[in-house]
Amino acid sequence: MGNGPELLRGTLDLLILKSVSLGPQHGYGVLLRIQQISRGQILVQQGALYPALHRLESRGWLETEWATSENNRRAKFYRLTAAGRRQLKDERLAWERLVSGMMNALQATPELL
Amino acid sequence: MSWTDGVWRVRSWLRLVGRRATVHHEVEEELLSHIAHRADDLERAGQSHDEALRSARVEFGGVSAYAEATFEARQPRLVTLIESVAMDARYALRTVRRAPIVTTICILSLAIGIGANTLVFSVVNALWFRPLPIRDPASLVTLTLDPRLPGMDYPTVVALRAHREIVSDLAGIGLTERSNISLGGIANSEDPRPANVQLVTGNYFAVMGISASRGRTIEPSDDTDPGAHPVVVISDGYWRRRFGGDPNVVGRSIAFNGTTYTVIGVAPATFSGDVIGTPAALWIPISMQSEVMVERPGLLTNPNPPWVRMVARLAPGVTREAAMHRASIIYQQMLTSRLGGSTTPQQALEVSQRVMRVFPAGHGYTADAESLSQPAVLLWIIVGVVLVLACVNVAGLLLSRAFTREREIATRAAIGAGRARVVRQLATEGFIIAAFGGVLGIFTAAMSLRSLSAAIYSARGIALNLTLDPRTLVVAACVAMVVSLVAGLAPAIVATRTSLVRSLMARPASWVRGTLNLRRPSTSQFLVVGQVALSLALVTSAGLFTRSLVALRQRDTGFDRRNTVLAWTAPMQAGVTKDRLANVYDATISSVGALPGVIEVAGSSRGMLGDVLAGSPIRVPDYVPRPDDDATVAWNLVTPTFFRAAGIPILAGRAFDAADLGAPRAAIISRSLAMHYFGSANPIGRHFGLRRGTDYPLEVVGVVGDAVDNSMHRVTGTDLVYLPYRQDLAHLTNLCLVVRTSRASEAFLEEIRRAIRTAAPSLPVLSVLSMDEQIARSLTEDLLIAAFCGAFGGLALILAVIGLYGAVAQSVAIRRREFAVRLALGASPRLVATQILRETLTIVAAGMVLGVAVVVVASHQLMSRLFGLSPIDPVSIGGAATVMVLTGVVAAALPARRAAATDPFAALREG
Repeated sequence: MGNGPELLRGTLDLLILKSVSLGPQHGYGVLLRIQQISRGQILVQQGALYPALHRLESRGWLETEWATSENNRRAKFYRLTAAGRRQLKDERLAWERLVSGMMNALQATPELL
Repeated sequence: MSWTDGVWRVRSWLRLVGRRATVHHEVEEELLSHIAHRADDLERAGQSHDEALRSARVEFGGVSAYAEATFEARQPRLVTLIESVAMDARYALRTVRRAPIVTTICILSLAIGIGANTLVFSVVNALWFRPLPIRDPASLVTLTLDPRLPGMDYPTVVALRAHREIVSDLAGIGLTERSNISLGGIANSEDPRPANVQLVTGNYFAVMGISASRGRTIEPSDDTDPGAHPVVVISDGYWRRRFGGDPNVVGRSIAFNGTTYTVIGVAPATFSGDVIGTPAALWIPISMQSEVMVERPGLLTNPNPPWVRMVARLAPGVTREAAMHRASIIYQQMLTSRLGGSTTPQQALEVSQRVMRVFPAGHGYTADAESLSQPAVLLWIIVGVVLVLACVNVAGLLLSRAFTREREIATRAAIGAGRARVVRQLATEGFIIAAFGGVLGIFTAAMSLRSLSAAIYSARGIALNLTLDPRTLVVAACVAMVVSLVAGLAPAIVATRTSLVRSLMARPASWVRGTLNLRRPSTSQFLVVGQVALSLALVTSAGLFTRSLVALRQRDTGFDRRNTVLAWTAPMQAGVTKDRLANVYDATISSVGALPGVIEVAGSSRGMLGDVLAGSPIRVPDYVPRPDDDATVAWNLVTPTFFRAAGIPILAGRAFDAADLGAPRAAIISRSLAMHYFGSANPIGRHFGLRRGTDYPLEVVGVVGDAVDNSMHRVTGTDLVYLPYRQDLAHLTNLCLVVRTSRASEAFLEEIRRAIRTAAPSLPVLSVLSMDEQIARSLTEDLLIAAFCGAFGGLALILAVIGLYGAVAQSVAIRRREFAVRLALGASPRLVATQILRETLTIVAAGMVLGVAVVVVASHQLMSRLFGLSPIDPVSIGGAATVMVLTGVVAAALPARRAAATDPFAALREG
């Protein structure tokens, strides 16, 4: 796994919340799912995922549980909490505002001024 | 955060602290599980099991570093902080241990810097800031016309005290020194050393809020009828010194000037009056003034001499401004009534200008504060500069450490440790060095307080009680904190700023930075230039002060300093009255003159190089003083033999003789006085007057050479009038014997002391010493400052060598490849070494230019302390510059050799 385009600050948190919202997942699974749902556009550095996961957990947005993975290995599974769901909604709105703002800004032409 | 939330957090902290190891373990397990899952995928894609595991590990990177970052990302923050700070500290201690010599020097130099600053502040604190150990020092005030000369006449003090609408209570203090105090009932127990006596009003101890540690203090009932209450409160020091700490001292007595005083109490050890630098030994009710100061009785009723200082507590609700206003009105009314009720317009104007002022007095009274502030500021600058140098060195050390750890820092930054985290880790090292330095410095300062106090006493005659009180400790701690910020945080920020940017840079980029290029200097090179500049300035100052001291010692004094003894006596302190003075003096002089080996003896009221500063206005017919000329001359009452004994040449006219006791009264003037007031005309036979009046009763009979008067530092001659001592007994209060001996004067000191004692047992002998010793004493302050500056200049030099060495060594290490290439291409090792040397000396030269600029800027401050040379002294600056160049060579020698010895092949292979 190489380096993808650099992630905007805060983007990783949103991606994690989104991917976990699709179903409980362990760390490696989150990584793969981000890759999958972004159609391979976004690659996350493997180690960098964990500080983010633990930060979100400590804020109460994720809860964890050790369980057995599909590979029959012990793994720590992350699940979205109710607070996490609210957070995902908020961040998603903020992100959409940012994107639409950016799009408008970038599509601006002299005639529109 | 709600209350329950808070409780929850605290509990979770505690749980987490307890589970720290478990959590760490769990995080690691999670990461390993990730790698295992990744390896499974790789294995599925066709790799062998082992190969897949290896690749998964490599892809992931350092598990423990990510584990740490993950652990840190977890709440609660406090635990993380404590944990990581402890880790930083352990890490810092490890790196500190790795370079013990440089670290030790850094710690020691910081310790000296912080310690010296603490010491200087302890002096400033004792002189100006520390509150007196009395009740509510903040509300104690003094009422005075002039803050520099805060004395009032006693009737005014009594009158103001009665105005309870202004002051709730007001006490008066008169100062005097008494010698030959004996212990009651013990024969021959006189102590010739002067004791500081404070004559105080009965409410003094109540105003101060001081109660006795034994017995009782003076009370208003002790201060009623004049002469009726011979009681004394003694200081703790006097109690220990004279009474050996006798627990039954109350009821014993002391005696001087024919009066015996009963000891009624001992003051607490913390309290020694409110005069800073002159601790009181005895407190006696002011009603005993005529008995204590027998030479000057009746001051209690005399409305003229200003000799009593007031301390007061203002009445409730009265501001200082209001008190000032009302006290001035009362005082002016009093002055008017003293003038008989009716005043001329001139008198009315003078009265209206006498304004009573109110100042805080809770810090005590410091006489001569202005002349003390100048050396204090100078010392502060010196120790400040050394502290800055020490800081710079520590900063430089940390910077170079940070550069050598560039890769590590870049790695840490890359794994998301965050810049703040890296900064904190680097800064911890600085903090640890600063903390060690601070503790050691404050400890050293505490150990040196006593000797500093002794040095100040020998230089200035001021007995300061220096302590590390909370205020001083807070200042010291603040200094140490600023130091740690400058020495720790600043280089950490600089290092991470460049390191993060450079983390992607290839090696050759570092080459460019490593060269000692003055057009694009690196931070550490800037620091080194500054260090060289400051140490050059300090070394130059040390040279200036030393040369000034030598010039002072060798200066032409105008008198013959060889084989001369001075014997200082204080007849006033033992209450020798004026009518007996002349006889006492004559007996003393003839007794000393009879000693074998004594060539000449003379008496002088002013003495030589003493601190008698008597001066009077002079009136010369037809002489109109310029506006800036206060027309004041000093006078010296001398015996006829004075000029021969002192070795002062008579330039014109004659010395005094026995016939000069009649009229017209004879005067001999110094050469500079003659030039000043009589110009080029022959002054012999001319008349002039001293003090107020309209007549000119004094006739000039001789002109003598200018001799050094009170101060060895004065370059020009003093306007001095010599008068025959019997002509002016009213002003003959001091006597210094000037004795010329046939051989080295040290042998005569004891004999002379004994001879005076025999001739006049009542005459207190303060000191008998050779002229060389007297000169040395008057130069003590110069010696101390020169020694201090020299010691700190040397220290600054050592710091500069270290700083320079560090910078050069770092540059050489970074440029190994460059040297390797050059050597491989055929450059001689000698050429490489010369290049390093040249680059080092370029930095030194830049620092020296800056340093000379510093000296020029500071020259005004230096000027007033230098004798006979300009601050821009080529010898001092040249000497300092030579030393700096040698310093540069020493600092560059080792790195230059290392550069020349670079093994091209090894270095290039590494690269």
